[in-house]
Amino acid sequence: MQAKKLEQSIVQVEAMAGLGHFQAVITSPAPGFYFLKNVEGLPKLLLADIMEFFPKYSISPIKEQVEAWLKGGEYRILTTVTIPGEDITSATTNLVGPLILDTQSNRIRQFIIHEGEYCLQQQLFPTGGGIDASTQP
Amino acid sequence: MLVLSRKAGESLRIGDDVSVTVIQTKGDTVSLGINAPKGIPILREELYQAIVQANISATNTQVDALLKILSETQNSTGKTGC
Repeated sequence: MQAKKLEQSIVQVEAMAGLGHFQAVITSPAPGFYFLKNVEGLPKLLLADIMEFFPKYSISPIKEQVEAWLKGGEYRILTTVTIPGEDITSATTNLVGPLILDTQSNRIRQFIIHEGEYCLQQQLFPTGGGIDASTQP
Repeated sequence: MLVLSRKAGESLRIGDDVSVTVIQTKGDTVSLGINAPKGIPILREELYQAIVQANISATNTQVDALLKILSETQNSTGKTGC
């Protein structure tokens, strides 16, 4: 499924553990990916639209928190992507601390799923052996 | 850091909306009950610190180089490499 490309937008990042609050520009350089950059330069983050990679991913343990925070009804679930070196196939993503993008109010906030079995460094791309990404968490 | 002593069954209040109750103590483990609005996350400290480290690691990713690769991949194949 091709993700709809976002126009370049200014978003308010409300809370990211260790990074705090900042205003950022968000763009979509490729389907399924977003680039978040603080308007003052740093930090910069590569994000994944996690439903593109793991359609069964669920934020149900934090649903009430998210709904209490949302101003509109529509949102996207993004996760940070970490890549050692430049080998994108070794990318991992943090499924424990998803970022919720409120597309109506252009705000992003990190929520933490403290129950369940999601992991902090989930392999983003299937490795050899025919792992079906749609059956991943 | 404010240090208060409470026994099992006793509580303390943080602001108008948050209360913490000592449910029971067993050996060196304390069970706490926390009442707070839904919008306030409550986490074990070690989990919070793990998220902090994960976020910091993500900012260390060489994003600019990867954006170039993603753009080149998209231009050449029309889709990502996943």
